Amino acid sequence: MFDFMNNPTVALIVATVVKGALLIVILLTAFAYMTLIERRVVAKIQGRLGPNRAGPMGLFQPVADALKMMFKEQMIPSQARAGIYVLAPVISVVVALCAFAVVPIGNNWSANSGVHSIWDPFIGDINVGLLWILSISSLSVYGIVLGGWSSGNRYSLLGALRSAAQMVSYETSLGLALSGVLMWAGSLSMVTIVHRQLDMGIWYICAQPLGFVIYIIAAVAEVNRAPFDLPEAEQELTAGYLTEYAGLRWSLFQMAEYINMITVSAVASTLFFGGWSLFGLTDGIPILSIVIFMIKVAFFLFLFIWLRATLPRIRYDRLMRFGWQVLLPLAALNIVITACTVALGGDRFWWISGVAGLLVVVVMLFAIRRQGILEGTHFSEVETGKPVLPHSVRLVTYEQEPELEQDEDSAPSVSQPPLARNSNTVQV
Amino acid sequence: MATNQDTEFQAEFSGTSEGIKTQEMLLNMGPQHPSTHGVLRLIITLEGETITSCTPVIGYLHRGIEKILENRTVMAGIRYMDNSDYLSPMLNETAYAGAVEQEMGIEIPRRAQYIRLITNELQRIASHLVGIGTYGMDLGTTTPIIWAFRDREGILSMFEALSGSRFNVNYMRVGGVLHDLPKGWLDECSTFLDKLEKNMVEMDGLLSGNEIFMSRTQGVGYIDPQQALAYGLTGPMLRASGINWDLRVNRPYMAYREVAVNPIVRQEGDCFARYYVRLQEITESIRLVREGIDKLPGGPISVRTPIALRPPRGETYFAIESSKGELGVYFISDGSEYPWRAKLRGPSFVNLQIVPELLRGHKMSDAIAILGSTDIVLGEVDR
Repeated sequence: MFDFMNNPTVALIVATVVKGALLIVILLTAFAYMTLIERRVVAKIQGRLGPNRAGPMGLFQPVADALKMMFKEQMIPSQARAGIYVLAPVISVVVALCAFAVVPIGNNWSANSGVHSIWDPFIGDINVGLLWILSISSLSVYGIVLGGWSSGNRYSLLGALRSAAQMVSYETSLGLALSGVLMWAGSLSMVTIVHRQLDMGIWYICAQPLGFVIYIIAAVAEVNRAPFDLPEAEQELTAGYLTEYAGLRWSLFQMAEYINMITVSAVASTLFFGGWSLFGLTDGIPILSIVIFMIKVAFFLFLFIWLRATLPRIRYDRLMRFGWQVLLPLAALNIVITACTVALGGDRFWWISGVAGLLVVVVMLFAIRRQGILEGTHFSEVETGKPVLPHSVRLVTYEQEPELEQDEDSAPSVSQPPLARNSNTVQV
Repeated sequence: MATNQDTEFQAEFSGTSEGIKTQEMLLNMGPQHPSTHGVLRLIITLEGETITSCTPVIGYLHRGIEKILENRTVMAGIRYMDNSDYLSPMLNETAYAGAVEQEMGIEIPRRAQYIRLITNELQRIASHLVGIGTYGMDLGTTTPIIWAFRDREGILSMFEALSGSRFNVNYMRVGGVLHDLPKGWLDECSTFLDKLEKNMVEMDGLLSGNEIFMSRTQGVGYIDPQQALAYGLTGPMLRASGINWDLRVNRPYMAYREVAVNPIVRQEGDCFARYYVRLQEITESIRLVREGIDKLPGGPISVRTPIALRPPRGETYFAIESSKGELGVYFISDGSEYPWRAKLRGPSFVNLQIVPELLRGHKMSDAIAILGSTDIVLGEVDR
């Protein structure tokens, strides 16, 4: 019955299609349960319960949400350009799904022997894997810009333009941050990058701490999550590019956002945290590598949720300044450090770029904190636990007056305002 | 229109902007906007992202509370004070009851004074919690508001135990308070305060030290002391500009004559200072409630007042330090059961007046940061 599988080309196509379909199903399920997990985790952080009514622990909540979204009326605003308006969410989702194709989810089934099988847990091991991810993720801005522009709403347009500017600015830093990894691995293939980390015996986070920090910051901005969620800034732009969308089209945009989140998490764990590897634990059991990879991705997804629950939104002009004036030079510096280390002697000296990168991170953090100290808002704690106020704050304590009646003018005060008001009863 | 034509004319003939037509954009923020705190409407003129002018339009929540007070007997009118600043009903009631007491020359029993102090300070905490929580919300973080409302819930439950109502408490009376404290209420209050103190340390850690929060608030919306005085600002907004003026200290009333208050003053005058003054005032209020509980004397909770309360003919002004600033009641009586006039000096209304001045020259997203830092309640602005 499966004779056609003997033809290697046909077998490859069949395997790729099956794996692709499987991956799409996995990603869509992950998106659905990501929404539930996010709501539950944020609720936990905020001291609430979160959705727990539909099914045990609210497990059917995504199903209920999906049903609700499906049956909502989908209007096309009269001002909108209908074709592009309908197409934009589709572009977003397709692009988001495509990017995952090159990410190795687990080890080869033949475990470490280097023998490739068509059923290995990644769709394509192309030799431009990293470039594929960068180029595809930069396409995702089209969905947002077209959606915002075609809605025919001012808020949508503003949100879309902000989004375009933000994604383009942070993409440069993202690409530069990843080129450090590229120098160490000497390959663009995601599978080879993981194997190179195994060969070197370290995860690239050790050699590339600066690159990792830049990548994570730029990735949060790239997927428009808090604190960089300016395109959908509720308080300023109602919902940005999403304003005119409802129902399934709206959830397609959400889907794209969450799948992008999963993708950048997967890329972060592949490039900086050794992908599916964990100290040789996966040698005998290839299926374990998938579990380990999922745990690593889940950690980064939790980071995204945590950020969203904690941080306020950054201001737009500061966002752009941060991207161009801080992140981009730092990414360039990272390239210089890495290039020097690689030229110095290769794998044995990975700790040089590691220490140098860590130093830059610490100096940057210190510089940022110092700015605050200069403005007099940071308090040092003394052993009593009470904050020591900066000299700009004058706290006045009052001795308790034993009498009931206190003379109004005798109240000591640092700078009495020149106010004179009588609160006496005046008889008419 | 004329302005725009002039601009175009200049651009065309002076050659400075190389023929690019620039036009100011009119943006209507509110009355239904997520961050105008109720139904405030701001008509904002934008040049790019910079605000060139701003006109607040108020009155969308006008219910004629002052007029209602004239048509109710004094005791019945107290309940309507709850709706003025709906985040601090206890303080509103204290102001109104205090004005009538001052008009009638009543000195209320010490126990009633202390119960008023405790409830007032709890109410101040509740109001500041909402102020801080919504301020976080304005700046795009969702957790502080939930934490703040969780803590505020404890205060509202205590008010429910005290008065039977969570929100429109209707607890103050001319001459004292309605009920004595229920059994076990003070213990519950102490337990709650311990918990709140811990939670406020958490809140401080979540917001105050956050780089993004500081970059959004520090140096934004600076009010210098002279300006603050000229605009008649009171409360945290005035104290954040370095002026040490707190009616609980400078014009002490009721139990504040015996309980010392440390006013929280900061010199920076920006949004961060206003936020931080509120945060520290919560800590100070916790201390005051504890001191009030320690010192709480026995005795009656109210003086006997006639059922048909007729304040003598005359007029008086009585002001308390509300959570937003000086809440004054100008009470005129013609000797009948009904007040002839009861004018409220709402601190939110006065504090709102500086907003157009503050917004000018700021960016659009700063507008929301500044408006949130004024902590206005539209119920009190429109009354």
